[in-house]
Amino acid sequence: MLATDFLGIHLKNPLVLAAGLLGTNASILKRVAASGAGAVTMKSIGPKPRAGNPNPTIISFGDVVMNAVGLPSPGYMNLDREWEGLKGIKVPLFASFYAGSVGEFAEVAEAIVPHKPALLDVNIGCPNTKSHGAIFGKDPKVAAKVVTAVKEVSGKIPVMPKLPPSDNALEVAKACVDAGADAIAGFNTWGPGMVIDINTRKKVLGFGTGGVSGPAIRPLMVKKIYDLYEAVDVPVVAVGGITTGRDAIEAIMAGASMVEIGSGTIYRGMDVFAKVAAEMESWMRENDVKSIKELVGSAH
Amino acid sequence: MPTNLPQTYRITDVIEQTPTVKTFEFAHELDFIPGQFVMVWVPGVDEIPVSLSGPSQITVKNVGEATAALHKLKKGNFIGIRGPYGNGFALPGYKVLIVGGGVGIAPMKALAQYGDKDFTSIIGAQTSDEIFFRNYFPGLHVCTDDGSEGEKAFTTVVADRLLGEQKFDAVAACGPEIMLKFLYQIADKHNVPMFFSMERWMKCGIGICGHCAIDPTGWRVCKDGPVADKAILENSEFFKYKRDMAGTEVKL
Ligand SMILES: Cc1cc2nc3c(=O)[nH]c(=O)nc-3n(C[C@H](O)[C@H](O)[C@H](O)COP(=O)(O)O)c2cc1C
Repeated sequence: MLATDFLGIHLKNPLVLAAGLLGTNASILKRVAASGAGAVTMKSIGPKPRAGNPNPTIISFGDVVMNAVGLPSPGYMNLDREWEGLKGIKVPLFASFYAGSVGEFAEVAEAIVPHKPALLDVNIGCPNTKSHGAIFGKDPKVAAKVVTAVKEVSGKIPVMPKLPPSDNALEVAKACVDAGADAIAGFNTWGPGMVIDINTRKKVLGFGTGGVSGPAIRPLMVKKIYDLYEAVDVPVVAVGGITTGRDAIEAIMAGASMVEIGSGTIYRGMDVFAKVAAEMESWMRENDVKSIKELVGSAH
Repeated sequence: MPTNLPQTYRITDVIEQTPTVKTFEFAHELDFIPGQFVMVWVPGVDEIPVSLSGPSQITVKNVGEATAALHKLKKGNFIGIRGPYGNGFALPGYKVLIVGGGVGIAPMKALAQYGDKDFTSIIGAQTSDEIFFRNYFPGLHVCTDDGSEGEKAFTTVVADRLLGEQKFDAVAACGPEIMLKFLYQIADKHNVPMFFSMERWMKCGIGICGHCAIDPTGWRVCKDGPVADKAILENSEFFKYKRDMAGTEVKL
């Protein structure tokens, strides 16, 4: 009932592990795959080894998660063990990556493509570094250049930029689609925000600020996905604050063909995917819905 | 929802255990299982995982930037704490051999003090100067590399002897990975269940960033651990390699 096709990729369910959570190595990706995810995304791969920001990098309270991990990566040249380990993975593997220039996006993509991930998830949305990430996703012209450069080396692998939730996200999305993007994912973390410890008067996150995710941002995401669905004619992927079957169905009704779950792993554990899938199935059965496709964009 | 935000508490006491190890008491009592850890925030500097040596107490060796900054803090200053996290020691049977090496003595003190078992203990360090918490360990054997206190031997040598002489239900240990590597072989030889507190680079502390997940099982040191049994240790990356802050492999 939950099985679906996304750009020719067969998925047992439309629930994907979002980039940056639990995706740091092959062993843990396989464990997430075994706990019910329809597909899993590798932690964003960078152009060179990078340690990321000092701790605290991840905090949560109430319905808010904040992170400023800062894109740690061994670099694409140090991933042999992970690619080897990922050969036997049982669900489609998505590769997220970032870079510090348009040319470097092509360089990293070119190194990833021979390993044949099912999808290239282009990270142009991370707010937690000064030189990588969201600076490529806020200007439609720059975002289009990145997509063009990646498309030149991607071969048959679909290319999906994942955008920051900026005010001009629709413009950026259209520019990406014009440049050849096969799908659009929305969104990376929001804000950024800041938390100050009042006893010490110090910013808590090591980077000072951090992107906001978790259930609190879900309505913001739903609205933007709703608008994105009307703005572009490629499939849209929703990510932000989804933790239950109800949330996933809501995002799909807003226009998503697939949904990603990240912070949900904090609230419901690594097997959040199996839990959400079961909740979706029971709702669909009660409401006599036979397939995900029937639901996509059905709130419009 | 549990809050995973550092809560800042005043330091109520700083105890100099050795020239390189200090204990910090803070004004809050945690409900914890020996072997569990907290993420300790040195405000404005860094946050590091530290095993609890008591419900209001951490014991830290000065080994790097973050711990050096922590060592500068005084009574009355604030530290941030989130946790306790992880599994802690869950030991079978009754008669347990404790082995603590270096600053690994600290979490074993919590077990010796609060664990409800018949303990025999071995603690070791390079020199007598670096031995601490002596009074908390029942049936204590002290080892030093230079013979300045107790036996001039590695803890593992004494463990081998005791495990040969008496029947133990479990070995619980914390210390340098090289010590645990040899202790693994010794416990295995004597066929005694082992429970070792392990360490890897951590970021989130709550099992979602994946950074401390080990090969080949994806066992997360912060969430599924830090205490590993034989099933987790055997054929794993432990004793062979680890990953640094970037995730790049480093041979051990
Ligand atoms: C700890 C953490 C690390 C993240 N790392 C990445 C990353 O490496 N690449 C990326 O594209 N997005 C990253 N994100 C953003 C998520 O993939 C996702 O877009 C965002 O958190 C919103 O979804 P959620 O509410 O389900 O977490 C990260 C988010 C978190 C919380």
